[in-house]
Amino acid sequence: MAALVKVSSGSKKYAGKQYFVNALQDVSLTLQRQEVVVLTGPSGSGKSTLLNIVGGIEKLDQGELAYVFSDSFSCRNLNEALRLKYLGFVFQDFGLLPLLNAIDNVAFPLQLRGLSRTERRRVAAELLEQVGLSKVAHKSVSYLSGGERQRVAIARAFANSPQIVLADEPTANLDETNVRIVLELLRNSCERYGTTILMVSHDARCASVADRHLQLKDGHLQDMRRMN
Amino acid sequence: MISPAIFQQAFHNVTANKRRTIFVLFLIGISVCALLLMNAFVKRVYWGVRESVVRSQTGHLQIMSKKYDQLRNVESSQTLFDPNETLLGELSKIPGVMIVTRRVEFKGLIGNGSQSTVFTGVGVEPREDSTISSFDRVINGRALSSVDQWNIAVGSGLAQGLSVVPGNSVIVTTVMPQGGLNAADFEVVGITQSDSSDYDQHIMKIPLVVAQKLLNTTSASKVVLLLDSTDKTAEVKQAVQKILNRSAPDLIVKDWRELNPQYDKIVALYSRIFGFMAFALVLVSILSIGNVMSMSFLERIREFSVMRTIGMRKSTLVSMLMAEGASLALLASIVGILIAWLITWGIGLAGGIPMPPPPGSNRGFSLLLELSLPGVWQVLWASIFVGIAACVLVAWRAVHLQPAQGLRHA
Repeated sequence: MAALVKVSSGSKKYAGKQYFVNALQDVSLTLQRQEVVVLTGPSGSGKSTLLNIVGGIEKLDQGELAYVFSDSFSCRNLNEALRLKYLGFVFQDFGLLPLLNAIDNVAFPLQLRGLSRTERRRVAAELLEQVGLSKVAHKSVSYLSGGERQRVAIARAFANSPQIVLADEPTANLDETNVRIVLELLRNSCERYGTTILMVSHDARCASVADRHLQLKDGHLQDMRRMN
Repeated sequence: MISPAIFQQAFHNVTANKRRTIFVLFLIGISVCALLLMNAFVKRVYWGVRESVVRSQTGHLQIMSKKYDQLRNVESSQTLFDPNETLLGELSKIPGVMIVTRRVEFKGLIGNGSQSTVFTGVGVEPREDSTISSFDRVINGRALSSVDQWNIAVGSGLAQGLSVVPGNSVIVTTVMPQGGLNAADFEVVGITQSDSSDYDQHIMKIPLVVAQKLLNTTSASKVVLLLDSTDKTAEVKQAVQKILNRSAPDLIVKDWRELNPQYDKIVALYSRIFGFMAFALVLVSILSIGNVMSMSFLERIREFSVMRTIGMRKSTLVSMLMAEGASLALLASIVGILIAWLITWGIGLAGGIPMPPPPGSNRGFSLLLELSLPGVWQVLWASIFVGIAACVLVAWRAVHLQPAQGLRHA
């Protein structure tokens, strides 16, 4: 499989008032196309930092980062336009826009790309159908359950057919049933759209859908096991 | 290019966040309403000052000899002229001209036998003058009529000074333009009151033909024109000037504004007061809305961070926030305009607000307010500016927010 993202010897420090925190130390990570990678580790181990760095919203202090989105296009940094085109995000607290209803939340990335209202609504409706939420499409997200909100967030992450979806603790606020639904959705979406998924979680259950399970401890990355 | 969808999004945000929207609607709405009412009040004051001088003293336009303008001496024979019927006929045919009438002005002493005082006399054609002086009120007796001969109407201040009432006789003494004194007995038929107490202190009106007899002349000091609308003054003045250039080059025409320079002073004074109050209201609105938007910024840090993480450009975020501010202000302006319209309508139904006499005036008035379309437009644009200006700080903070930092914000 071809490498889609490559982090080489990456380090990141956060400066406190009197001390530094080494969030990442000499981390190397390669994400292949169409694989699901789960990154676990205790709180403060640097999981979210690594996810943000891959997502282009934080910078490495040392080391290198490279994206190869196609044979003809690779880059080292992501601006907003590239994030919009190639990446999708799922957040722990869903990250939905509270003033919008479900379909408008899913359509939001399409709106940023300038699609017409009709087109973006059509695409968003299809995505909501795939996550089983057609019935609540026009409901405000404030009225949805946690599981429903995370499914809306997953639908939104896939709206622009991204090459990578980055999921930060996608199951953290969900009950057992919804954890299973969300993990299945992510796995199925990866297969359907050929997307690479990097998932950060405390939850060991997430490893069940992973092709690879990595662990971060005190800023160091360890490859736990390779799933089949 | 910024997608129109971003503006839809902004409008959606505005209408979806009801609590914030209602609060800001209230803030801007009240300011818009206050600005509109203040604007209507000032416009009404301007109108009152303008029309009271036009319709009780000067008319819209006055034709006089160039010498009159230079000498400022109403008694000089050099300032009199003979407006012939052809000239008067031509003037009355100018579109917008309602009345063309002659006047002769003179000064002198008026006495009741035991006391006397100075006066400014105006010989008028009573029928025409009753229309020109429509803002004057007869507070005792009656107005001059075309059948009156040795009768006069005096201003209320003059009547009070002389202690005369209708039916009393007075002696009027004046200097004739050619020199020499002339005097005659007159009967007071009416006491009039204008909006200006100064004017009422010395004004005395008598029929034109009688004034000419008293002054031993057939000439006039002025030709006064009343128009059907004050807005036509400049246009008619130009037409009059053309006629004078052709047929009476020794005469000049002056409009009510040149004849009443105090009008511009009043306008300048009120404009400054209004401008200062408007500035204060706009400033308070900007600070209040800016404060509300800043509070909402703290609530929306994660929202902005999510948007930026997903791929919203900084410029798009700024446009969206500005559009939110403008949409809020637009909605609030509509609310403010409706409230102001309701208030002015209510005031109209109640017959106006009783106001005390303004400085230099004899009488109070009922204040009726009317919203002007240009005023509404000005306030509408000003409030949209306020809405956008209030969002500048929030927009600045939003675009300088690091998405990763914002996502950690609880």
